[in-house]
Formats: sequence, C-alpha cells, structure tokens
Amino acid sequence: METTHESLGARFAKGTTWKTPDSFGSAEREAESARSSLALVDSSASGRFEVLGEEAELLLHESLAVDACEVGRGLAMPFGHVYRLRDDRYFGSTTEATAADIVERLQVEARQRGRFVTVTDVSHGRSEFWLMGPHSRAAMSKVCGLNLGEDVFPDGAAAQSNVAKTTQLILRQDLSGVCCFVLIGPRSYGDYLWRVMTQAGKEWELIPAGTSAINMLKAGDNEEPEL
Amino acid sequence: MSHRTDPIPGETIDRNFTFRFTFDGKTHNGHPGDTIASALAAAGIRLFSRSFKYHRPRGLLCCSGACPNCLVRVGKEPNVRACQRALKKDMVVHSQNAWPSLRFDLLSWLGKAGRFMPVGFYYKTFMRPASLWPLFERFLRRAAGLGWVDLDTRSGPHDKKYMQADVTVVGGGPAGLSAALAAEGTGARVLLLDDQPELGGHLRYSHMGGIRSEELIKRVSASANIQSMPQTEAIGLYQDNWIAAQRENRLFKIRSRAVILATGLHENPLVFDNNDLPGVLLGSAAQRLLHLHGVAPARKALVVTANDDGWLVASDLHRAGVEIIGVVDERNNTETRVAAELEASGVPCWFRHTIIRAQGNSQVTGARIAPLDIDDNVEIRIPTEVSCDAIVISVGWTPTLELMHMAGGTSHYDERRCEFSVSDLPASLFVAGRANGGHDLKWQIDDGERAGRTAAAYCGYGEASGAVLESTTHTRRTSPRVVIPGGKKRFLCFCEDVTNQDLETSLDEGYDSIELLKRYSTISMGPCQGKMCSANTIHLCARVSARSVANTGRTTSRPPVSPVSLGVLAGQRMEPVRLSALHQWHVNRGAPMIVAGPWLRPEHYGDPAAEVCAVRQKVGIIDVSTLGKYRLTGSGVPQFLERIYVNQWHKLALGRVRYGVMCNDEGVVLDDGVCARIGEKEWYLSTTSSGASAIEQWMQWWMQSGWGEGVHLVDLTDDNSAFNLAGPMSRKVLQRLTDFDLSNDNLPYMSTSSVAIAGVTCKLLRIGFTGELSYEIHCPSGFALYLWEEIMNSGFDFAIQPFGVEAQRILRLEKAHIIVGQDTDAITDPFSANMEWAVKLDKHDFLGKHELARLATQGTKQLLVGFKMKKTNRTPDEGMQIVEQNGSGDLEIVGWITSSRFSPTLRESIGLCWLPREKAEQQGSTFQIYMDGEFEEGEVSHGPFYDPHGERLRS
Repeated sequence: METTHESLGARFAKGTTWKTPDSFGSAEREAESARSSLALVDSSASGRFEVLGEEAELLLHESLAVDACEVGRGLAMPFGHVYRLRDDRYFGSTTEATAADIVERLQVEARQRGRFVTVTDVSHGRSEFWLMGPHSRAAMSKVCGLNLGEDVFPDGAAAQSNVAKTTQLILRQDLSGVCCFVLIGPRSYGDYLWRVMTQAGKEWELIPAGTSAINMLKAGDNEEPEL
Repeated sequence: MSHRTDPIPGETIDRNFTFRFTFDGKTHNGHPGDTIASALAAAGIRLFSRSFKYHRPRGLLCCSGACPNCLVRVGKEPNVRACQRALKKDMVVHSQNAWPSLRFDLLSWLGKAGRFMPVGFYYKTFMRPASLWPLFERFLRRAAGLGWVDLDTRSGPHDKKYMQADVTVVGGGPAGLSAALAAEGTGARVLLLDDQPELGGHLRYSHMGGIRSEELIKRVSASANIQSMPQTEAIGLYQDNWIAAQRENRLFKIRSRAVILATGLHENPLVFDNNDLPGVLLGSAAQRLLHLHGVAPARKALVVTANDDGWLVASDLHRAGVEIIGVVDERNNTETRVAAELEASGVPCWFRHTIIRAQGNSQVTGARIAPLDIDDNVEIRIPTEVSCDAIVISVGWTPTLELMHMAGGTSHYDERRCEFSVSDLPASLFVAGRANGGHDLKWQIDDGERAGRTAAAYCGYGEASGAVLESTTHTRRTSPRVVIPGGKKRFLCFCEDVTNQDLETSLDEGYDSIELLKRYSTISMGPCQGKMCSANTIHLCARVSARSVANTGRTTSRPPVSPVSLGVLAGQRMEPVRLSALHQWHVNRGAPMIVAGPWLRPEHYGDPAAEVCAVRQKVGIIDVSTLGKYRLTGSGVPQFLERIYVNQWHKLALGRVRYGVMCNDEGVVLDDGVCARIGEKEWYLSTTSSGASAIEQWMQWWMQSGWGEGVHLVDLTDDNSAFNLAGPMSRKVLQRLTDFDLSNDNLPYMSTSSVAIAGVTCKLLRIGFTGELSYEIHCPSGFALYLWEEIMNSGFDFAIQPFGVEAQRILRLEKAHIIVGQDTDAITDPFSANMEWAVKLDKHDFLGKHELARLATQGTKQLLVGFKMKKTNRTPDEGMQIVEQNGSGDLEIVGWITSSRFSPTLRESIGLCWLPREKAEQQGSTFQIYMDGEFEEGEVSHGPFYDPHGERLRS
C-alpha cells in the first residue's frame, strides 16, 4: 500500500514499526470528510489475532476477561475489540504494539490450562480499511451484498462476506458517533480493495484519511488516541 | 409551429426556462421536464426513426418506453428511448438506421420489396452459395439494425448497488402507492420502484385520481420506512425475490422478503393497414404528451376505441384544443358522461365502426373507417374517409405480468375480459392494481392496500388483509378484434417489422407453437420484448390456427424485460488481483508481471536464461509468497494429513519436511506441496499458488465432514511472505544474516527450523524447486521487503540474481519436476504422472485410495515423461500434438507436450509430454511432434535432465 499512499500524497507517521499514513494533506479536511461525507483510512498497521477452538470462549474469559457474546457481535475491551465470528472462532483487534503480547499470553495460558485453542497473530496478513462517514453504508452497498442496515448490522456487529469479489471480515466499529465499517481481508488484495473502495466512494467525494484525522475525531469525543 | 398547449395542471415541464438542443443538426427548443420525444413533438416533429427491416418511417407510438419507434442516438450513445430520456441543454440527438437522412432514407425501397422478403427469407435465401455469405452478411448488417456503437468512446462510470427490503413494490401508481403505505403501516421496510421520474403511475396523465393520488404520494414521501426509487426500472425477478433494477448507469440488486407487482398495463396497438405510420399513436401516449409535457399530439385527431378509455382520451384532447374529427367505437354505444359531452359539442361519433387504413406516405393525413356488420365483420367495401393528422388508438390493454411470470407466477386467459389474469403466485409474491385486473381506481387502491398488508404479514408484520378482491365485475376494456382485414402492411411487431402476413405465413409453414412462432418470425424478440406485440400475436395465432387463446398460450418471459446496456450489467470494474508484499520491488526492477492464478508475479528481470545460470552457478532468489501457507495444530493433524495426502505422515519427525501429493476421491491429482512438522502438535503446510484457495476449501470441507477432530487450520498465506534462496552460494549468503548453523548436519535437506534472519524470526525450510541447494524463508509479511533487501545486500558479493517465474519454470523442468495443472489435467492420477513412489496404498484410508488401488493393478494407458529433441534444438510449443501414423496411413494424435523450454544449462530443448505407456516406458524411444506443419522428432528421457541423483540439492 505504501506506493499507493505515496501517490496520494501521504505523509507517513514517524516512530512506528509500520509506515502508516499520518495525513494526505490536511488532517482537518480529512476529519471533516469523515464526519460529514466519506473517508477511507488504511489501518492495516493495527494488531490482529485469531483464537480458534471450542474452548476459545473460556480461554478469552480466563485470560483477558472477555465476556461471552453471540456470534456476529463484538465487545469493546481495554486493549481493542474482540468479535465472535463462529462458535469456536474469535477475532481480536488491538494496537500494533500489544498484539504480540496478547497472542503470547493467550498461547501460554492455553498451554498451561491444557486447552486445545489455537491462537495466531494475523497482524501481518491482513489489510484493514475503515470506511467512515454518513455515506459509508451507501458506499458499502456498491461492493457488498450483505444487509448492513442499522437494525441488522449495528455498531459492534461483525460478519464475513464477499466485498468486491474478495472475502472480507466486516466490522461495524463506529468512532465518535461516525458510522464506520472496518474491512479486514487478505493483505495481498489490499491495493485492489483500496482502489475499488475509492472508486465506489467517488460519488460522495471520498478522500483518504490518515491517523491524524482519526485521532482528531477521537479527541473530539475525549477518547484516548489509539492509532 | 409549436404544438405546446396552454399550461396544464400537473405538467412536469418548467415553462419559465427554455434551452436548445439539436436533432439531426437542426436546433429546437425544450423546457426542463421535457423528454427528447416531447420536445420534438412540441416542435412538430412526427418522424423519429426508420424501422428495422423495411426502413419505414416511424413516429411516437407509446411514449412509455415500450416500443422501438423513438430510438435515437444521443451523442454517441445509441438506442436511447427518446420518450424516456430527459432533455438536457445542448443535447445532440441523431436519428439512426437511416441514410443519407431520416426523411430521405434510400433503403426505404426495401419496404416496396417487402413481398420478396417474407419472414425467414434470409434463412432460405442466403443459404447458398455459402461463399457469398460474407457479402450478404455485410449488406444485411448495414441495412438492418438499431444504430451503431462507437468503439472509441469510453463508457462512463457504471456500478451496481445492493439493497434489501422487507417488501419491494414495483410500480408507483395508485395500487403501488397504497400497497407501500399499507406495508409500511405495519412496520415493514419498503422499497418502492417506479420507472417514471415521478410517482403516480397512470394518474399522472390519465387524470382519474386528481387530488387523491397527490395525497398518496405525499404520504409515501413523508414515510421514513418507504424508500422511493423513481426512474428505476425492474428488469428481472429471480429466485428468492432477487430483483434486478436499473437506473441510468446503475444496476440495483435487491433482495426482498416479499414483492408486490403493481406494474399496471400496456396499451395494445391495433393491427390495420398502415398502422405504423407516424401520427398513429396510442391513447395513453397522447395523454402522456398532453398532461405531462403540455404537447398536443395533433391538430386534427381521429380517436379509435373499443372502451370508455378512448372517450376519456378524446375528451382530454378536445379540451386541449385538438380538433376531434370523430370517435370511432366498435361497440354499440357508451353511457359515459364524456361521450355525451363530446357528442353534445358536435364531435362526430361512429359506433359499430372501426378503422381500416391510415392514409398518408410519411405521416398520417387521413383515415379510412368502415362499419361492422351484424356478425361483427368489418365491411371494408363501404369505407368512409376522413382527414386528420393523428389517429389515436385505444382498444385494449394487457396486464404487465412479465416479472410475475419470471418469478414462477402463472396466468390464464380470461375470455370474458379478453385479458390475461393472474392465476397462481408464489407465497412471497403479490400482484395488485391494474396488473391484477382492476380498471376501477378505487378498486386499484383497495387492492394495493390488500396486497401491502398481506405482503407485510408474510414478512411477519401485522396481519394479512382479507381475501383477494373480486375482479370479475370489471367491465371489458379490451377488444378481441386485434387485426383489421384489408390492406398490405399491417404491422404486429414494430421492432422487427413483422406483419400479420408474415405471421400467417409462418403458421402455414408449420410454426404453430407460440414459442416456435416467436423464434422463426423473431416477433417479440426486439427492444419491446413483446410489450407491443405479444397479446396481438397470441390472438392472431389463435385465430389462424383455430384454437382458443387459452390453448395457444404465451411465450416464456425472460429477463430483462426492458433493454439494458452491457455497461450496466458489467458495473464497476472489479477484477481482484493479489500482490505480494514485494510487488513494487519487482515493478521497480522492471520485471514484467504475469498473471499466475489470482496473483501477479514477476516473469523475469530482463534475461531469464541469465537468471537460470545465476542459480546454477552462484545464487538466485525468487519471491514465492504466492504459495498457499497453512498452520495446522492439534493431535488430530497426523491422521488428517494421512487422509488428505496419498503419502505417509505419521512418522514424520519434528523438524522434518515432506513433499506431499493430494488427490480427490477419484484419484486425480489435485495439488502438491510440502508439509513441515514444526511442533509436537503443529504443522506448516504449503500448496501451489493457484491451488491455494481451492485446497483450503477442500481441507475445510473434509474437516467439517468428520475428519476435523483435533485439528485447527489457519490460513497464513498472506501473513507469511516467502522467498526461495537457491544456488551453490545460498548457504553463504544466508549464513551472513543469522547465528543459526546452516550446515548440512544441522539443517539437512528436507528439514526445517525457526531461525532469526537479520533479526526477523522466520521459518526456514531446506527445500527447493530448482534442484540446487536452497532455502525457503517464510517471514511475517510486514518484514518481507526489509528481509528481501537484506538478503540481496548479503548476496551482493556473490552476484545474487533475483529470478522470476520463467527461470523457475526452466530450472524445475531441468529437474523434470511437474507443475500441477500444467503438466496434469482433470484426469491425471499419480501413477501416470510418474509419482507412483508417493502413493502408499498400505495406509488405512485416504482420498482416492479406492481408485488408485484399482489403477495400481490395472495400470494406466498414458504416462507423463521427459523428452529431448532428437536432431534439432527447436522447442515445441506447450500443447503441441504428438502424432503417429495408424494402419490406414492417417495421422493419429497419441500425445501432447505439456512443458517445454530451451535449457540454458544443458544447451538443448527439453520438456515433459504425455505418451502411450509402451512408448513412454522405453528410454530413448522416439516420436513425432507436429510443429507448424512440420514434423520434429522427440526422444523419451527418463529421470531429471540435470543432477539426476540430487547431489546438489543435498549438498
């Protein structure tokens, strides 16, 4: 994605392991676009992990105090979010810095408690895009056949579906009251999906946004900057 | 002289603004709210197009987007329905299918020669001589057609949109509006589609509803639970209420729990002599022009009717200042108020009469009418001639049930009303309003409400309304008389220029099934898709073949019901392509990228032969991130591997790697790859690049079918990037970047370990496809570029060379390694692909065992084997045939080339091919390859061409 971001005039954040776009020009404009229209954020640098096994629920509860939740729903946790994708499969999102620690902790606990649970750090293998703004649902409807209506897919919902002919995990993760769909899929499709989403959002003048814009949105809601 | 009327309440045009546009180079004026057709009609234009086959002059007929008569070209966009396309400032509109001009079309002589071109004439006429067909085709394609496509024009953006609803209502007329409101009232989410720019349906122009329709529209607009989609045309209704709809350049895919079709009616044309002349138009068309656009379609009009609707049309025209020179009604009388008013105002009324001919050459100048005798026959010998410039036809209706039929609903012919009526419907499909047989406005609204409530109840909202409203009390509005005798050209199908004579000829020739008749005559296969001709065709077919209409049946309705551009179907371009983490590095080095399954991979970096030599002599590196990579954990993994691979796994020691072959139940080779045991209960499996997704699904399927006990599978294809460092110097290059002892003793061939390379924890596998000492390095993808560059730097002293897919293909071919999918096909088993050594039939059970056990005893007829060219270094193309002379001297295909390259290492052409077993088993046996008209000799060569004992890769 680096070349794509560079071609869009990205300024990259310093001091992180990953090269993450900090802004594509004006963070204020990007934040405003996210609030009032549509913005696309590359958050691939986030940390991600998968927990697989019939005892996954138990392990997550024991190790990370994650409460049980129904399939297709997620929980906000101090370290990020945990979504239940299947009875025996969870997906966790967290910061880049904490993913490895969480994975190790879960692996150790699983071993110690004798639980047949497979914990995998999938931070490197996924692209993660945030489609934010009041028009995000409309833009999603151009690339995904899933019903993402408020009543069916509210904040905190999760589903795996076909998005622009690729398999993506779709999370509804609103930010400071702004509707946000998070698309997490194979890293190798990242460039393609970014291009398709940009095209799909053209009619709402979608602009790419960097981490500064997101932090501005969060700050507006008195949330701790995360990215 | 303008045909604009005084302002009419409810008209859509804004008379405060005027703008210009051109039609065939001539400038005209129009208003916002005009369609192209209404603006041209206002300017007095009667001639809009030339017909498909005979190039006959055509003018406005339906004004509803159903007929082909107003197809024009807008800019470079062909086949635009002028009556549906909103007029825009400076629009450039052209007529089509006419040369040199619309008014003087030289090909209109075809109309004179019509009797020499009966239906199907080109099937019969242009059969022989076959050599002249290209000439005939050229002429036919120029003479017949519907405009042309400018291939140099870039299409505008097209896209698709998915939508969901509890209830989707198709049709925004009174029934559709009340249905939407009734469904919404129960809490259901409703989508309301209508093909017109504004809601209201026929009330917008027929003035039946007045204020009541406005009230309905207001309530619909105010409802948060109803999403109105005007100008959106439903073009198909598929299984499980999957609706395809289009608006401009967008295709909507709508999934709905219940569907209500309030699609209204099509008005039927009447088939009489010269019935296609510009100036002959339907009553609803006249009303649309008048009430929506303030255009009087004529100065002097004759109205021909068989119902009360025609009288309403006559009244509307009369009030707008059009001189009604008469109303011709085939009935005995009518008791409508408007008829009395018209008679009172001196409009001549001819009851028990009908029209027999439209007079005029390029447009209507008059009409010939005739009385009906006591037996209802037309007395064509005692005609009356009248002078007029328009003939307005209002003789009947056909319910718009195409979508219903597509969805599995059935209809029957109601003899009393002379219309098709709904019979049975799928549980989630409902029909309401005029499409359901009701002409009365109150009935339509009540029926819509009934359908809305019932559909909502089907979705779990509220309670169903009472029984279906009785429609048998409705009076007949449709005349069974569809063809008027007499005259030469009476058109049934305006799209394909099919006359009643053509149809009768087809029936005479034996095409008496309605479906065959359609295919032979092409009737209903044009842009109108039967909307204008289907009902009349069925009636005529029934009459000529002496059957009832019910027994004649109807043709199958198929989507799309209206023309749809290919761009709309294609939508936004979405061709997923996978890029490795090193993609940009390869591009920056000038590597041409080739498609490999879903991936783009570097073919080479300039000189594939040099890349091969670098690997053989020094060191090379290739990006193999595209391999499928999976993590398997659990105590059940060994047993699972035993089942999905043909070879053995349970004895594989920790830290060891094994090559594996997967077959399906029929013993056909599906994929190959390696599997490494990286922990007591943890395994790392790789597949081919192109087979990765399919193999993952394959494994998941078997896991979920009972073989997944104690097995977890995680896809790491994208998480891990992989490179293969190959060549005699590879150990030295890699050792510089790690403290791990890479010696043969510590990491022998086919072993693996977790190793920190340049600070990145990697899985290191001592394997390769090239036949050289090589290391496959799997690292987290985020570090791929860093690590690749570190290795390149480390190998700089050894002149490390990145190599692409082409060099890899040559290198593996020198080792006679196969590529699954290239050297194998859909019937290849491991025995014939020279992988017998991998098959362990003594295992308990595995996929394909039964079939492979049979093959092991019966043998296979063909074998995959290596070959060299015997006398020349000419390299045969992959796919070339291997031939042999049979007993009768003919050439017979006995095999084919699957892989072939010139080997820079061996300095000769080598390859793999399929040969009959007896030939393949014999080292050195020769065969003939048919190469571009010549024969070249190949020679069987067993085993690897290079390093046959595998000493280099174990070094």
